[in-house]
Amino acid sequence: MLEVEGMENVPKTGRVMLIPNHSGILGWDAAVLHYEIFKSLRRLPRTMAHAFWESNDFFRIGSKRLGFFPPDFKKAVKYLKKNKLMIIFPEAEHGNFKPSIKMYQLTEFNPGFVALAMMTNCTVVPVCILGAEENYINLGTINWFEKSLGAKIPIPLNLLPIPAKWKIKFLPPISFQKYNKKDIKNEKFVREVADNIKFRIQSNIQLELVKKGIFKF
Amino acid sequence: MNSESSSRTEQLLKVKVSDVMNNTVITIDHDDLIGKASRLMLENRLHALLVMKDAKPKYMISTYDLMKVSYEDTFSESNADMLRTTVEQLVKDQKLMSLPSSANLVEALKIFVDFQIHSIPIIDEGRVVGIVSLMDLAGWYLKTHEELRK
Repeated sequence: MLEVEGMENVPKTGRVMLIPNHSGILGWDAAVLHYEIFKSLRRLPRTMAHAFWESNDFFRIGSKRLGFFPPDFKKAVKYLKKNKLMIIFPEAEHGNFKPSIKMYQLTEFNPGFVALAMMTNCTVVPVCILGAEENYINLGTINWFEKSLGAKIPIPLNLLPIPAKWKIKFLPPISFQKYNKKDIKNEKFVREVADNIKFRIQSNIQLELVKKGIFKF
Repeated sequence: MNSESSSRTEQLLKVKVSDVMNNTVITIDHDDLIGKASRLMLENRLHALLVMKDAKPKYMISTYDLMKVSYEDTFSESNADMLRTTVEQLVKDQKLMSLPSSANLVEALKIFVDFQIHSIPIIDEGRVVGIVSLMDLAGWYLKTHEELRK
């Protein structure tokens, strides 16, 4: 079961960047978000995905068709200048593979998306995804193959997803028009904008969890 | 004044700030942005943060300082932007009120009332050893007065 709130916060046209929390090991959150955006707005999102999806032709062709692209700043700028809708998960694998004991506790945001949004004068829409965390119980990660595979390996307790109620909440859009290129050069500014957006997502997730009545912290 | 309340006053006079203070002190650097100060206060539910400069305690920044910024922003963009203004720019005219850990709690109470502040850093020979806030005081009061917990 999936509930969607705040779709009106996502512009129907023009460049926009969706910034969601990331969890659930297999990336179902990216797939479900893609589907909902496509279904409601008829826009195909361009999603910055882990370099793993570029590791062989099979993955590369499939992921490209779905709109995924590897972490490449220049490519991201190119897409945004073409007024595309882009999804970036600033937690990357740290969020996706975090152990279930840290469920709904967002990991650090990579602030690269802030510079990208400001450089291209792109609107940012923070997104809360609830439910993906509950599909898999992750015991932790193995780091042994990180060098050869380019990624850590999670240790899920279940292979089939546990049914969970999902909710996607789009928060009000943020514009950086007030700021300029001088601000992008200020490392503390960029870091704080990333943390501010993380804070908005985390606070809304906590509100939703309290409403849900399962996790209260 | 009855004997019970006079003995309680005597006991209170003996209490040191080190008995009440919290050893966990969340600090911020003088050149950090006030947006970071706001976030740290919200995340940790604090009313004030200790501001460090050259590894030494220099100022306190409180919720009042930040509220002033957002209030001034009501009708127009104030000069103190959350993401452009540093902590030092906002609080540089303030004097840091602190106490040593050997100070009596009564001294802290006087500072709270006279200066209308919520938190006092506890500093021994330039080293921050703790912080005492009104919330620590409330917690200490409940902990030491068994009858209130019943």
